[in-house]
Amino acid sequence: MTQYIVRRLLLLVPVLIGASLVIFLLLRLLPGDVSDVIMGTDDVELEVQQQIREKLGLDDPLHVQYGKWFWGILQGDLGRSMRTEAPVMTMIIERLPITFEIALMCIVVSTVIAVPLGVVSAFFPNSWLDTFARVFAMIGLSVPNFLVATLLILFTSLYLQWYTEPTWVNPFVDPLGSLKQMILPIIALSTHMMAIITRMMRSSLLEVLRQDYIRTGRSKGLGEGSLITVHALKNAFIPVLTVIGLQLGNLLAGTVIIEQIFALPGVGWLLLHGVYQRDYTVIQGTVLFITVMYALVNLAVDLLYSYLDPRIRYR
Amino acid sequence: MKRFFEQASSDLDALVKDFRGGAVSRREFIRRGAALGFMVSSLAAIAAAPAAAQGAVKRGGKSIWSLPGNPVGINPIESPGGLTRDTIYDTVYESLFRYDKDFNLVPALAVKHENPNPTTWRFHLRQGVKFHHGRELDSEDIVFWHKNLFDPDIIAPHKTYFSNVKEVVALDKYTVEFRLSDPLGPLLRNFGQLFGASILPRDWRDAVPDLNLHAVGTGPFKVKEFKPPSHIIYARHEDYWDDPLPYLDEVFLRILPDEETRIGGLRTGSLQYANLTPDGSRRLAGNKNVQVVRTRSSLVYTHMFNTRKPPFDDVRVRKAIDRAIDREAVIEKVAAGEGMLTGPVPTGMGKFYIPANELPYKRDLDEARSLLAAAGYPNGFEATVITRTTIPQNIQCSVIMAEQVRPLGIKLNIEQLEGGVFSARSKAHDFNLMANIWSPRVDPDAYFGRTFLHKSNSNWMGWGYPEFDKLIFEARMHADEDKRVPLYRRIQEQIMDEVPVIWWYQANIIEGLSSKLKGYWGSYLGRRPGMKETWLDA
Repeated sequence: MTQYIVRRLLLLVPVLIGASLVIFLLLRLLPGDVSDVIMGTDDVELEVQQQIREKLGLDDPLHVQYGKWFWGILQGDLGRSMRTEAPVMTMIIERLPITFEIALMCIVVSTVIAVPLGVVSAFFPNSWLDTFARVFAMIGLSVPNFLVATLLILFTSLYLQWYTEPTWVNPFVDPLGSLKQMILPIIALSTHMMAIITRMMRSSLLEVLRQDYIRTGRSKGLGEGSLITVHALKNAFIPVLTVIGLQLGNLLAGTVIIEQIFALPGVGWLLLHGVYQRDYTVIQGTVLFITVMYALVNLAVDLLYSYLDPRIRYR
Repeated sequence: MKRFFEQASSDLDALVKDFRGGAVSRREFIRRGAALGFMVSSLAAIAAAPAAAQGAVKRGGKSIWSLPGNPVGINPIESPGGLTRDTIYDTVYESLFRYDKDFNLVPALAVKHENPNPTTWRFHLRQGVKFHHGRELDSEDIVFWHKNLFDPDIIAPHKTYFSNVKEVVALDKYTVEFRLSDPLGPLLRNFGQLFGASILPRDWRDAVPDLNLHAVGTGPFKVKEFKPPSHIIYARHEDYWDDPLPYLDEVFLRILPDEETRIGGLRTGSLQYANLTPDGSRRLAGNKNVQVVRTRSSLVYTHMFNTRKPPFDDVRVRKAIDRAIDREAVIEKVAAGEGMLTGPVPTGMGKFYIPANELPYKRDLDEARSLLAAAGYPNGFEATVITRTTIPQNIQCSVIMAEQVRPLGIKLNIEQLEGGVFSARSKAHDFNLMANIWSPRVDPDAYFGRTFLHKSNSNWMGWGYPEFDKLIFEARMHADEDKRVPLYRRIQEQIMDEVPVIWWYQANIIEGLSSKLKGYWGSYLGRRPGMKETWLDA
């Protein structure tokens, strides 16, 4: 197992090199650069614009620009923002707690609600519980999360007079304050996730409950409770775990629209603003960070597979 | 009233200087000082009456405001974007002159000026002005300002507003002389505009590590913290020269791009200030906890023709479009009535604008058809309009325009482009029509001296000619506004006759404030100079 983990971590290196090259080249293909954004369309002086390009090294050959940036990465330096000159690494680290908090709370809330709902729905097919779960899932999948977010803000401001804090509340300092701040974005994000997990849990469990070993267990007199929890759930949970892993990766990449609506300056908002500003170093650094997050989440999910299913062994 | 107090202050300074220099006897000093003091205290009581009428001004308190976008950086010289300007000009940074609530140019860091000949200006600085780091402003800081602006290592997009200033010389501690290469009529107004004109201390590096995330100015507020894209915190500048301003201890500005969030904040009281759209302001109507302030601004929505290529290289085609559109309908539908007709110079800009009732706009589809036919397009044509996704008013104007010209057989394809793509396409002149927004300015030269000079990089239309440039340069050189007015009238009439640009409307700035905030006033320039006179009636 240790060898497997080490091998997976080493595989990250070519993945990161590939990702860095792809994002570097793709950005240069985009029309306009940071000098265009700085100059805008008000008072354009080409001489000043050229000064900006020279200062930021945008006129250097591509291989020189990439080489300088990659050399910095190898030394742990993701470069500096082309707009504010702040270190990109610092900008990401400052936003990580917010993104982690949103991602983890969303995963926990979604899993805690959706998994039991999916289980009940599978165990009592065609009952009112099952109907409720399926309708809930359909609504969650159909309604975009930004619409949910906007409706929540409207409702809480109009009818509940709900006051929100101006800056991020550290959950370790003020857990209740943090919960109040995060509850609306979590609801907005979780509705879609809960819908996916509920459906996946339901269909996966229904599939497992039809297996021969479940029938054998029943015929041997095992109670339904232990049949589900000891035998069926673990096997049924494997595809659900895959979905949770993918969703966690998405959340750690930052949920741009929700962060924007609720003014939570997480990683997603940093990336979005980087794109608007054509701030190459911010975009490149953030994308690399997201790549690492995805890779680590996938590794964690793969390791959890072997816990759930002892037949899965890694060498 | 403020001008009186400033003059009285300057007279008092002069009296003290004369007494110390021996020009005035002790008896004369006491006599004149008493007379000044009596007049000032009487008028102060009269000036305070309106404030007393809305309740006595309360000093102190923290207020939470919102910004509609992320200023990214707050360098007053190197970050020229509109959001940066609106955030830091007048509140954190000042210049020699400023604009008051009635858009009058008034002294700020300079209390007196002289113009002994067309290329020489002398400014007498206000004494006792302290920068945020504690040092007093003196003439060497103005010399530094000029050197910094034209330093080849400094990227200063707005230095062109002062390109005629050849040299700045300190005559004494509080007097500077500007020596120009050519006369520059709008010089004082350019200071009030603050583009490239923010006064920094020459030793700013001793106070802050950089100017992108930190600030050192003379304004009523210091930057306590700036965390893009989350917030910026202002703290009162305790040594601000315009005592007793500002009233608020601290202003916390949250960066909230989503209007729904801002409206929710105003409703619940978690925000006390927000920029609003016309629709947003209507939704807050009737809410007794929110007051809406509407101010006419010099923000203008336009469409620019690319006259470098067909079909808009033909003035008859441009005139046909001009005759086909209905600007009043656009003001009603796009701005919900929160705007007014405008010519090339927005209403309210000194005496330079053409009043709305004298503008030659008239809708005449028959004339439009005749013009098109004469130009060789009897059945219309197809053309592309580029707009930015982030400016919905530009998109809406384009949509309505497309409908209004459809009867002529003209098909306008509207392309909504992301900001960087829009910039690239506009600079490559890859468009037929370009929807644009003219950010608020203070002087007509800011428009004509850039966008209409025929070889200017900002001349998106590719329109103009050397004789027209001469007219612009001639209008620029006079310091006397009365000499400039008729020249700008001619310029505007010529432009409106050839229609390289369509001016849709001049927009109102709409601001929502908590009913607990008093004293705020909106600005013609869309900034927030009224913040310093705002107080919290909590």
